[in-house]
Amino acid sequence: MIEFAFPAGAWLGAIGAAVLAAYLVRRRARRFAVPFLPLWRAVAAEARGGWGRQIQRALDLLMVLLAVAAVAFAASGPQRPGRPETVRDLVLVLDGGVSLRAGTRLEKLRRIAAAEIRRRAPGTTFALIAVADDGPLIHLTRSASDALAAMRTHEPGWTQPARKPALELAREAARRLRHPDLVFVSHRPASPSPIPDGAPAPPFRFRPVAEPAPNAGFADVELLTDPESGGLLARLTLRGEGTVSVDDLWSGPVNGRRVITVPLQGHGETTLTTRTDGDVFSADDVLYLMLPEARPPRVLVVAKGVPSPFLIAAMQALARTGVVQAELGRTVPARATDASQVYDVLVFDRCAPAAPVPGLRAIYLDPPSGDGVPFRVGPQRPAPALFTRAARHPLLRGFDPTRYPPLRARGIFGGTAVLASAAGPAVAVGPSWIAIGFDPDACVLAASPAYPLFLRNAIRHLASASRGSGGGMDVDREFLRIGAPAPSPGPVQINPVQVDPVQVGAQTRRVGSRLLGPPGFWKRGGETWAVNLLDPNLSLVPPVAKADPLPEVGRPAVAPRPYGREAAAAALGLLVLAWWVFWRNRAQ
Amino acid sequence: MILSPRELAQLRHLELLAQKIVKGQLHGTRVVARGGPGSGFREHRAYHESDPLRAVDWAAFARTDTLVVKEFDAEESLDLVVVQDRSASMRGAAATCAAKLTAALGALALGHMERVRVLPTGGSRPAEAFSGRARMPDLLASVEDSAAGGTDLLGALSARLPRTGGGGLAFVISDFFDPSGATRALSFLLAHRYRVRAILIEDPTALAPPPRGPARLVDAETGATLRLDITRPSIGLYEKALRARADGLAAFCRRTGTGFLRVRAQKPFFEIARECLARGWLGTRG
Repeated sequence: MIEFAFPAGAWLGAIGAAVLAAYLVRRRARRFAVPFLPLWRAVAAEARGGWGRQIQRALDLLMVLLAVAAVAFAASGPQRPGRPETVRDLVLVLDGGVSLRAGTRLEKLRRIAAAEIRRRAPGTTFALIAVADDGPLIHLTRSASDALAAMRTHEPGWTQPARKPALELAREAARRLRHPDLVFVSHRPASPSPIPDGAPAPPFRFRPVAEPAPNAGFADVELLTDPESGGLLARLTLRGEGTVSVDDLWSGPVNGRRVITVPLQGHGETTLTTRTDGDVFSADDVLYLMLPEARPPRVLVVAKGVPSPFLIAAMQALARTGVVQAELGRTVPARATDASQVYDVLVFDRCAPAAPVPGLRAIYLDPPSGDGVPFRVGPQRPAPALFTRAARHPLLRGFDPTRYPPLRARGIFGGTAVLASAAGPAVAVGPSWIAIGFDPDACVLAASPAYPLFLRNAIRHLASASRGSGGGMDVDREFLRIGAPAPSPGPVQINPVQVDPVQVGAQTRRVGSRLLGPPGFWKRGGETWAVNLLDPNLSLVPPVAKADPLPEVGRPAVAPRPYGREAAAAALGLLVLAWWVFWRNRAQ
Repeated sequence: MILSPRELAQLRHLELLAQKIVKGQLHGTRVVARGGPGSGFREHRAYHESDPLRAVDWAAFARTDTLVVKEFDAEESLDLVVVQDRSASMRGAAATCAAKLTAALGALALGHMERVRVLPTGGSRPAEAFSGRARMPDLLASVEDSAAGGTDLLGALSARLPRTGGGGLAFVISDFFDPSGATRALSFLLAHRYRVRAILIEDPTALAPPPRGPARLVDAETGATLRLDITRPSIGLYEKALRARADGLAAFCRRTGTGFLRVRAQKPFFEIARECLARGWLGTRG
């Protein structure tokens, strides 16, 4: 869409083009007296002829008209329309976790946030909110410079705070600002991956980029798993001084993260970088080593009736595996969403998933009972023949199909079958999930001694396949938008529907009393209050009548972008071309 | 005055030459190649009964005892016809040049007691005959009339040329922009046994093509118009047609023995006279 800063220019240009066209079609011929006209008649008869010349004249006229139209277009000030009455204020939520202290993450976060602030139009209201346990509002201002100054004072804490208070405050701010843009700048940690049962994780190797302090030259940090507790064991190998267990240095989990602090004996400052963007930073004399969260694999077993003894044995063998045993029709009460727990392995014991329901990312149990396993199904693929391309699959390691043949099976949507029979697949593998022994009517695999082997292979396969993505800085603009979340390619997820116990009305829910802001603006109504997200009149947040304490800023957030310069350049080019054509015709 | 006194004075040293004796209507100073009344002795011939007795040379009879008749060269005046194109196309320098030439030719003829007929074309003035030096002012005044009308040489000749039995010297001074054909008038004069000399007057200013661009061309004589986009090719065609017209006229004159002279209107008068001398149209006296 194009609008014109000077619409009269376009009209005048159009009229001028029409007048010029009329003039050019019948140009005013000057009068010349000649002594003998019959000479010119003969010339005219010879010079006029030919369709080519007529077409050329028409093209010349068209060229001139185009040039005039381009000039009129440029003179009328074309511009891409802005967004009137869309004062897009900015609610900027800044991550405040301890991981920002590592490396240059904080500077990177500030740079991203500053860019967000600077590209706003004048008059934008900025609400800067830090992610912290108390959810403070850093600053509320209409000045970009003030917002930048306030943003520079933002310092991360020493813990990994919960995001919920900050998000609730951002939601409140969004209700009070005009067409707010919600931007959440946060550091994304490396995604967790399941730790294989009984197998050590690959060692984390650190490379000192500076000369390490005396007696503090860490050469290797080896991460081991503790089979007893299921926790982590980090062992630091000091250069030239043997191996030292760092169990005593482990400070334990902090907000779901495992943080290891290592005092530097030489009081020196040591900078260590991981081979990836690791969570290593130092402060004072303490080296903080934040290991990526490692979690035990989660296995969801959906059994119909009493589980088979082989399945029970396999579950008992998985000491560190979070096994959720579910019963058909009752065990998975949630619909398929993404904000949920994660299951790596689905085990169907004598029950089968049904076809996916359109619009819901789940595989429901068969028969449909209203509940289902949220299971995102990919495109349907043809089931391979028995044992085809599956003999070397890690899932079949130690499994002799001649000894434990799956007798019957049927197809499943999505995934790749690694074990199948003539009736269809028995074991299917997806990007990060494995389904074993589904379809009880067709498969007796779960009742065979090979079942624990499959479970073990599945967990190992998932652990080695999903390293997890590296960390980075995220700029999330959709975190408060109500709508379908982005589909997750990850493991099976179940939404446990965590709802605060107090419900105020159908559309009203309780929020905490931490949402405090500057006096005079964010008024608190007591220890708790209710916010109606759909109808502000039903909100218990005072003042209800003055839900918009900020005056409307009359400037558009996105200024119109003029095209006058480009149009003028194009018009100039067309004019030059038209002049050249005219000159060429005169020269002929 | 169309001719300056200096030009008139220089004309006194020139005379009209006719390479072929043409018959005049009056007695004059021009000796013709036939016997007739005159003052110059030519020859004796034997007496014939029809000869008058006073023509007998009695002195010769006394000496030779033979009757002979004394013959003299006839002295007749030249019958000069000057067709002066006064059409609207002959404006400006061309008209002046034509008038000067007409006046000069007339002055030369009158200076030798010859009769001059000036036939203007394009106007309503009738043909007028002048003879005797006393008519010189009238002749000069008559050739200065303004130009008007079209070029109709043949019409002017057929309507105004007197039926005198033909013969004489005819000058056609024109741009020959005659819609009916430039050579028809010359053919008419030749058919009437005139010794014809065509002088083509060309005014480069008037013949210059209009500047390039759309133009409405108006014929100076008829007022007819033509819309034309003047371009370089059309100008080339026009100049080519102009050259072809002059070349065609010259070829016709060569073919019929007609004298032809192409004159630029801005050319000085005496240079034109020099070219006439070179062609043998004029001679020097004394």
